[in-house]
Amino acid sequence: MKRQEVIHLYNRFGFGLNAKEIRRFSKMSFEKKLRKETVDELRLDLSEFQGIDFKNLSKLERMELRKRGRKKVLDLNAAWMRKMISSENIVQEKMNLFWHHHFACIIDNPIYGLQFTNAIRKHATGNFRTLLLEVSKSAAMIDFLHTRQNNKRMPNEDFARELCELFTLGRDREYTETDVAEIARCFTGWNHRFSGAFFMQTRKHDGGSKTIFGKTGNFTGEDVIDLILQKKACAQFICENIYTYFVNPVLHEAHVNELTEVLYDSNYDIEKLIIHIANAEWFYARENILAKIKSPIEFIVGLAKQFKIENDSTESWLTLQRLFDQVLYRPPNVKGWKVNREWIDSNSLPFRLRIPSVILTNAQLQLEPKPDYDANPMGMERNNFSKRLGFSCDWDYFFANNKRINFKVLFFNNIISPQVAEFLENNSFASKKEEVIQLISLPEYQLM
Amino acid sequence: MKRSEFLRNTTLGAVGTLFVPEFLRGMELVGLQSKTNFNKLVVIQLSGGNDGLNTVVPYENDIYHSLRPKIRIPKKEVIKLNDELGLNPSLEKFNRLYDEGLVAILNSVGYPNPNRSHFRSMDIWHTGVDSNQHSKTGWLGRYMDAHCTTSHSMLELDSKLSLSLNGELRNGLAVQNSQSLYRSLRGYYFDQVIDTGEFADLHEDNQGYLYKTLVHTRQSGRYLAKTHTVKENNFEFPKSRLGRKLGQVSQFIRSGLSTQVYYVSHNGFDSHANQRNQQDRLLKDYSDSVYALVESLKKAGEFDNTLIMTFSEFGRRVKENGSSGTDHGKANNLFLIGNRLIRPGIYNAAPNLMGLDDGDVSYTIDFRNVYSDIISDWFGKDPSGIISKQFDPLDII
Repeated sequence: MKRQEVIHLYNRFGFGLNAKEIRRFSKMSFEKKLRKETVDELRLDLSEFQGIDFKNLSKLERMELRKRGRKKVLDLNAAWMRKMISSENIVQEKMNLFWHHHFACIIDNPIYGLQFTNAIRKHATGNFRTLLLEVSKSAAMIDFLHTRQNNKRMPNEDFARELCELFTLGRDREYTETDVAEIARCFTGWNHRFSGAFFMQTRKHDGGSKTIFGKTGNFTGEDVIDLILQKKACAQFICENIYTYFVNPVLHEAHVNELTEVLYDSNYDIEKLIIHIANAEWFYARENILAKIKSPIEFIVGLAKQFKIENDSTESWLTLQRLFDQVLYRPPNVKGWKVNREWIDSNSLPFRLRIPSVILTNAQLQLEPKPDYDANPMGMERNNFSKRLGFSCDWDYFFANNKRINFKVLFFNNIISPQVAEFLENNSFASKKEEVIQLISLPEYQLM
Repeated sequence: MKRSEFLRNTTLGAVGTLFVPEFLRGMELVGLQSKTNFNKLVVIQLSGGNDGLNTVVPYENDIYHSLRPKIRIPKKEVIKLNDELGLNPSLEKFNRLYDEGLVAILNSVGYPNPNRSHFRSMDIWHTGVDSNQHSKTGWLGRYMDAHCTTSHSMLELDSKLSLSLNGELRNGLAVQNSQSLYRSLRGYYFDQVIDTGEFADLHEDNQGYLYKTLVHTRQSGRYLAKTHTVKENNFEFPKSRLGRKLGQVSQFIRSGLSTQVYYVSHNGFDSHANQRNQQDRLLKDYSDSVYALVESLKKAGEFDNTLIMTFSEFGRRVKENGSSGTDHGKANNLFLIGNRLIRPGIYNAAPNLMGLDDGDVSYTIDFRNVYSDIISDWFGKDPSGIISKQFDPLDII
């Protein structure tokens, strides 16, 4: 593979590479890279939350427990951040992030958070049916979309609607309001225990006959998922999302159709799909290079990987995520985070242009995130917020891994606006460090 | 024809829209607006869920007193407005405004199927969509899309922007003061390049979009820094964070900025424990700061064109909890302050504590009805397309 192609490939199916990795991965096919990767579940000591007799706790004890739980989710968040930054399984890690975008879910409970995350991690490049089923049965999703409130006598349509609209078919495509109501009936009785384990509450399940997409039967939740997956529209919707996330925010009909066939014919094999993208000539077309705006997590992880940025404090990672407006396990709502251009406006851009230099020089930060009363009840604001985030970076690591490479190639795949290129030509930098900091302060660094 | 109109016409006539890139066009008009000829809105958001029942107190109501043995405000302490409702004693200055006929109090404002999460309920108030819907644009952002040409048409006095001010085409600006946006890019490595302004030829792709946003940000930053000519306050504001923010709003308005909406948050109302101290302190700060804003605008002749709306994402439970506080509730009161209110005073019946919704005050006025009236009666624009539901006017503004 050519250098420009390798950089592009792992910008999208990864968080960017250093020069050493570019050389290493250019001698390896994407398939081989994938085969070398392993499923790597997140681990977190949650013993303090296990074996609790929740029913017999007082109201105050429950509140206290929830508070500790919310704090623990931040540890889970930080653990995931560190994994993204340090893991060799870069494709897997990127896919995990993509699926969290796809299955947006607000999570306050660390046990359910870990279960949800690991369900995704196990199947991120596996079969979409299995992934969808595992996520749907996870305690986090059951709570978030009110599946457990969905019962025979009073169905709750939340999960049924989002399953169709956000997870599989796309808004108002190939399903009707009647379908949603009937689908909700099929998922009645889905529940989870305090431990997070899924169970079927038969008493609440509506075993009667339902009519979905014109077909009639005593369908269960699993049956519904099969009925949906039988529709090519589902494969198409997934491929559209994959395309805008990994290829180009502007859809290309022919390419999406091509991917739809691959996914549908392989019975929803995600690995086959992404290998097809990596092998497609059009994936490397000029219009796709540097065409995407980095999401905050992509931005932070990419920067952190390149400069070995570390921090022992969970709070610093969280502050950074909040300033960027993307906190793991806290999407703004069921529709998920912003995408592409929505991340950029006059408020976010100056911050995003400056934050790399702030982190790399350990400078002071003046911006304070907005208070989050759900996560921190009664939280009071601090006056004159100004803090060092306290991230450490390793310049020796950066230079050792980026020998013999033009930084414009490294950071921007050599695509740069003519005016800036001219400016750079005519200016010399005081040092290599200075050059690097200035380059990653360019608007182009927002792109990938 | 007024001078400003003449200038505006000739500017557009001479330059022509064809030759000015869309993102620059608004800049041509900047600074020509007269200081007083358009209506402005100041939104004050009480974040965390202000306890409305201890703000406007139903002091004669037995249910109120019996459900709140520890945190109730006794009859002798309240500032009486009529024979059933009175103000929290911390609202002494607010009461002066009320006595002048500058305040309308709307009771039981909320929305159907309320949500008790701060985040979600604030989202609902910001976007103005139904509680089972989601939107990426706020109600003011959609107004801006339809009727404003620049980002600084709406300013939030904060380091981050609220969803309210997010539009499809443009977002409002979050600024801490007149200099912060300008400074956010000052000394930026590539400002020389950006100043050449030769990026109009860039494609509509993301690279072009980034440079355009950058140029735009610098221009708005310069505009604010340059137009902000009034740097002193003509009335003493509290030294609190809210006082400083509203003092800045007063300076902006008196400087004649073309900004139509100012957005300010007053934080810390999530009073789950030991509510009285915390809430009373915050309310006093609110009362003193708003009073200062009104007086300062009055002195400069800017108050007549200013409307101040105060809301919170939800009210709190009627019954106090075990730690002398209150938990999340539903409907709440909302205040409008201005000199051109048609119906100042207490607009509608006090919250009905006999008919609670699962222990909470139920709503009788949809908050979007207020939004809708502000758009039509205050800004003189059509609310349809901005507010999804149609409402009969409340006839307050």
